[in-house]
Amino acid sequence: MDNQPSQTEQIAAYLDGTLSPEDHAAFEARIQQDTALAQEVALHREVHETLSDTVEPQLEAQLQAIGDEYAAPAAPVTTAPSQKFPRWIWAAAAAVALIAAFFIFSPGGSPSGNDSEAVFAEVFQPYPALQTVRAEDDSGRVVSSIETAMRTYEAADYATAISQLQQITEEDPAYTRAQFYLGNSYLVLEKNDEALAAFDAVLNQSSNVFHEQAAWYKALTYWQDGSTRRCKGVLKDIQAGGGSYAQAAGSLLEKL
Amino acid sequence: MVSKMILSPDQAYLNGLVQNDGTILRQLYAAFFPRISTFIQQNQGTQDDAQDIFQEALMVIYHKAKEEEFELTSAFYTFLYSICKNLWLKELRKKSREGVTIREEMVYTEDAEIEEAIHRRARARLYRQKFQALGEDCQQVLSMGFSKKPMVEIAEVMGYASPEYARKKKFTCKDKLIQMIKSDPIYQELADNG
Repeated sequence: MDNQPSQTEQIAAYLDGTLSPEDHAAFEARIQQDTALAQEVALHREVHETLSDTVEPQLEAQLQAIGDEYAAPAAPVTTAPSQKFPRWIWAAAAAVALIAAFFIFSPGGSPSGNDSEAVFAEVFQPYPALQTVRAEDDSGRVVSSIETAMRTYEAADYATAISQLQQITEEDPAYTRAQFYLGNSYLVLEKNDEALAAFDAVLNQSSNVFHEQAAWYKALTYWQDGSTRRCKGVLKDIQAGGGSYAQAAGSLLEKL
Repeated sequence: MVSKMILSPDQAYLNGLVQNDGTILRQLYAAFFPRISTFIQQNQGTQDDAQDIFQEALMVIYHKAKEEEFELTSAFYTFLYSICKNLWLKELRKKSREGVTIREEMVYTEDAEIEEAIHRRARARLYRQKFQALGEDCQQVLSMGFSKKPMVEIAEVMGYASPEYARKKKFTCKDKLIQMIKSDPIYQELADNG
């Protein structure tokens, strides 16, 4: 083993930033002039980045495990309590878990008044645009117009989504799916009064699949509007209902 | 007003991948896998093919999402679908040598960003594969090196006589790894197509 640093050692020192400023500049000049050296440095950098990354193999393993769960005979869609809802409802259930997890597992503990905004940002995201997989939804309505609106919503063009969803709800105010996403679109744009009206339109329908979600987003609308007392009232109802959002509602109540 | 930091669902999907968040990953599956599976199965694939392509596409997105300058310029699903389509076309091309015909509607759409993302993931697989092929000592020394462990500690753990020996060993192993990577035909193919 001689005392001259090998090319690998020089590259490592360069990438680690342990060369003197003069040597660093000289090495960079060499890279500029020598394509082969530049490629070698790029390879070393990428190898280092890849093999230092501990998340990638874990992610790969977890995706494999989830894929196996999904392919297993006892997948959620076959163990569902009811088959009367279209398939997208399972995505809705997953979204409930997602939103709850964002809240329950987010770091930081209880917010003071000053970091309430940050907590709100953690808790709130527009409800995912779930895909319609049938020609008609669970209430028998033709879905072509709602599909267009959902694509707009998914593209985060909430202003256009509002106008498209409004056309649907004007024709049929009892169409809860359209009302629910209309409420979310208004909420994103901080049009709280309009958002509340849309969520109430969902909640006023005695039985529909967006009922609890609408209540949760109604609570968030009150929170955004600064009406903490009303927000708490809705959250208590959700908690008492014992549904998918009950735990998240309880956690948020504690923090508020 | 308190909605300055709204996290869109698409951004949540990206974060979920980067953070290996099981809840979000399950949601990703529920939201998108059925459509990708239908697409693959309509184009000469099986359910297993669909699983493989879907997972690989998410790994490709993981690499993209880690890049500081990366911004999603389309809907998450659009990006995912494009990657799945390109990955599946590559598979079909391999299979076409075995007698499978590619349907005309599966037209290849060249997208440099997606191609590079797919290649980046393929290179990462190759690097890990070659790392696994190293001797146990080399794997241990390099792992500690990647974790920025000091040479004194590496020498102690490995039972080497001195930190200087540990340093030399680390670079010998790294040279070996780099040579193994460069001599693999897949690396050459990826470099030629890069």
